[in-house]
Amino acid sequence: MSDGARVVVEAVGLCKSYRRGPEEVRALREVSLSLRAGEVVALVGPSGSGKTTLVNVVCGWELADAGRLYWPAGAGGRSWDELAVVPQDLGLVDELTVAENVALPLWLSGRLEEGQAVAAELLVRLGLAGKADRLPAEVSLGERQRAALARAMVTGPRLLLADEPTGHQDADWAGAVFDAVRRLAGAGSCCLVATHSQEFLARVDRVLTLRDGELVGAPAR
Amino acid sequence: MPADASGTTAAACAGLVKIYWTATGEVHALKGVDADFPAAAVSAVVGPSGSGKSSLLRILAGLDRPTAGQVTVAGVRLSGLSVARRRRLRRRLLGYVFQRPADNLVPYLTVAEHLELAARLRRGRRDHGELLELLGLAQRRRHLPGQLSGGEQQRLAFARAVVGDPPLVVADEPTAELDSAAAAALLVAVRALAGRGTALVLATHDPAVVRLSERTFYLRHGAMEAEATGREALSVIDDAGRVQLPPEVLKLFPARRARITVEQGRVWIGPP
Repeated sequence: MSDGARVVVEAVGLCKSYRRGPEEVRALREVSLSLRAGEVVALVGPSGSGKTTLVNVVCGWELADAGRLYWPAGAGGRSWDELAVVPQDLGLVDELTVAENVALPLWLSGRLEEGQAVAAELLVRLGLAGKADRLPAEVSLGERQRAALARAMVTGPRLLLADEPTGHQDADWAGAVFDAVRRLAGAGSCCLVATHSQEFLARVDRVLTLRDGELVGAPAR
Repeated sequence: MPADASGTTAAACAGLVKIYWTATGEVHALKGVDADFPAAAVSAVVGPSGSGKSSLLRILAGLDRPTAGQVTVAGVRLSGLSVARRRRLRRRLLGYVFQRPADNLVPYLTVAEHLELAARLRRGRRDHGELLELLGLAQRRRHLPGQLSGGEQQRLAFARAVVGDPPLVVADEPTAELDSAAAAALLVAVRALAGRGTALVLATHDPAVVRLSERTFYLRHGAMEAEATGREALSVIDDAGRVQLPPEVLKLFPARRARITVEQGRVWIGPP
């Protein structure tokens, strides 16, 4: 990745607070960052540091109290080509099989036929080909997590946001997940991955560290 | 919907038994429940925690299989089917709404996409304008679930469940996490949905839900205690002749033995 790579999204001064009982939690404090095409960026920080809130604000699932998001190339992260998310609770549709879940973005955006080959390839790479016709409830949690990743990748989004995508993977599958993320970035996408995994961290381009809702900059590597 | 005797009954349960095996032994969640849920109407299932409401609803919705007994939805028997066929029937005939709004929705799909997905699954109509209008979501088509209030999320869950007009939608305490204004708005919507031809069966602790229901089923200790149509609640007698006495009456029988006498067509139950 060169420093001149296209900016996919830029966040300026994001703030977000919420109430937990009587307490006001400042989940994000003036977070600014810029994500570029082709890079894999890790988002780290202890539990409660604001990682999930940042992911949710960038993808538009939560609104920031202050600050702005700029999408130089697109319509604000609202199209299937622009943005895809692997949420922590995965967001699979219970009534759809693994293969149908993976193909869902293609189906809803009316390009099932052209995307079929990509979907099939993702199923194979992520070890789901043998489970394609099962419902999410009929496969393991690790398989559900990989299905959610495949579903997020199937449209080749310019920005992939993934919240702990190796949280339920053993070492081999964590490697396969990383390879899939790297391959997507190689095709020009930006991948922002909230993670605790040391193996993952050793292989990313850049690390963003959140502490108490503040971005503290990349640690020495 | 097949044109058979089920014309006025959306779903029927006969002799439903559900046993769970836990670390501490067997739990008999349902002990032989019979119930007929009327078509195109709202039914409430009430009872204290642990009475078997959720077990009954999950079986009714085809999410769980009974240990024994039968469930028939729109004249189709759910038990004894292959997994694949049960899955297809569930898609076509049944909608389910969970208690937590977030559990019902897919975070990356807009309101319109939720309905589009449901329509494709049921091969239902693709024009949802009227349904969104009915549920007060017409201005929210392009919103994601995270951008909706809890009440709007739950109305969307019902909208998704009724797309394609399935004969039965089952909801487990759908108002439990809503404030009273949002719950009231949801109930207005639920009532309107029943008017379109879908039967709605709601497990609830909420008296407002019971008030709007055409029929109320009272579960206690895994058995159907009473059934109410309108104002009058009638005790249920099962096939073995068992009746559940209300808890306040049970206090009159500390020895748990009763003398039963029949006098001029009336039955008297008293302590010995």
